[in-house]
Amino acid sequence: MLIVQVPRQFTIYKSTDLTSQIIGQNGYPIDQEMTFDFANLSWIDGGGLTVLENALSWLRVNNVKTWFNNHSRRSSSAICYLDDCGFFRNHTGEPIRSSAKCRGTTLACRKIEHTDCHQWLDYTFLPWISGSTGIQQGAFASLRTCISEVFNNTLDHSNFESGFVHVQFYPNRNEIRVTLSDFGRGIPNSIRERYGQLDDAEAILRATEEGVSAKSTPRNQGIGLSYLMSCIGRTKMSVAIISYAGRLTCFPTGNNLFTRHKSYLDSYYPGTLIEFSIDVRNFIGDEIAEEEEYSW
Amino acid sequence: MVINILSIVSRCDTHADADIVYKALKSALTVHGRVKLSFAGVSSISSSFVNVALVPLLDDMTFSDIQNRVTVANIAPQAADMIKRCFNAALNKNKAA
Repeated sequence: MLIVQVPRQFTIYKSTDLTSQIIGQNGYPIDQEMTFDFANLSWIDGGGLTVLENALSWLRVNNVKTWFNNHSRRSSSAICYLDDCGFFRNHTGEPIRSSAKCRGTTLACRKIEHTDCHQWLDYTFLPWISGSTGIQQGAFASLRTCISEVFNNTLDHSNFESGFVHVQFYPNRNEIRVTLSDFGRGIPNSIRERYGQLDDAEAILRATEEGVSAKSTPRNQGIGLSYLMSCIGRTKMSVAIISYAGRLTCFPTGNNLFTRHKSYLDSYYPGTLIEFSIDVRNFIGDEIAEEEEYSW
Repeated sequence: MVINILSIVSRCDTHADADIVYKALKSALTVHGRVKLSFAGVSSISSSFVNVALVPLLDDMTFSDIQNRVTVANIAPQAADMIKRCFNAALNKNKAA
């Protein structure tokens, strides 16, 4: 029985602290029975939760039996957060606290599935983000498209057939974070297949350039991630992309421009993890203009 | 001939949505020669959608033919931007080939 220590401060930047404990170099689970020990966990955000959900789902698909330990600490704010997100109810059948309920600042982690993920964008995500920020839904058209592009990439590239999305509003920082995770082929593997030997971070960087496509589907033209990049400067949101041992962080720099910074992880994330950070005070939404005739 | 996108698909995100629109568009072009494609009520469209619904028209028609025979109406700025990006990418690729 493998004991998996849930990281103490669990954000997307600690994701490989978890995945390196459960996934071997051969890409398979390290053991067929694992206990997730929550004793050290003192802080977790939506990103950490997304990684945790994706990991547990992947283990289930691989027929690994999992148990939890040291998770009933009602005094722990991290445990209460997970409890309010429905984490324990979903995995053990009951919440830690009878009062646990989804917070108004949370769109709890859910699977990305072919059948309804885009419907979720229109009927759950847009009304929620508009209500949380007081900004009209139409102003989030570009952000909606960015998330739709990531959904499509997940559904096209992930042989695991599912990923997860979680949305969290941090009112004290006026920030909304949207985290999407899948345990699929990963951007570096897809890009290397077509463009040759590039290290993981370089491959992610290359994937964000216009016209660079893994050609996972015949009509794919490599627009999705480059479109996402173009939205960073324009909307003032930040984006972090982690895939295998590569990480790309992208920030707006002013005048509709943005910068990309690549770096390397000590361990690898067996798929793709993308987090959008929207600073509500500085966010520049899409112009809500009259619909007009398109000029070719 | 007018095709209202939202009368044949619920949204413009996936290959499946796009395939329905492409077939309707091709059929209408064959029968009527010219088509007005209305995106009324659509706030955003994905590259997957444009790459399957519209870009394949270039397989059978020149870009100039598309400009003359397909009118895109009632389109939101984000959606117009995505169509432009996808066609630019396809035309640049054809130029390079």
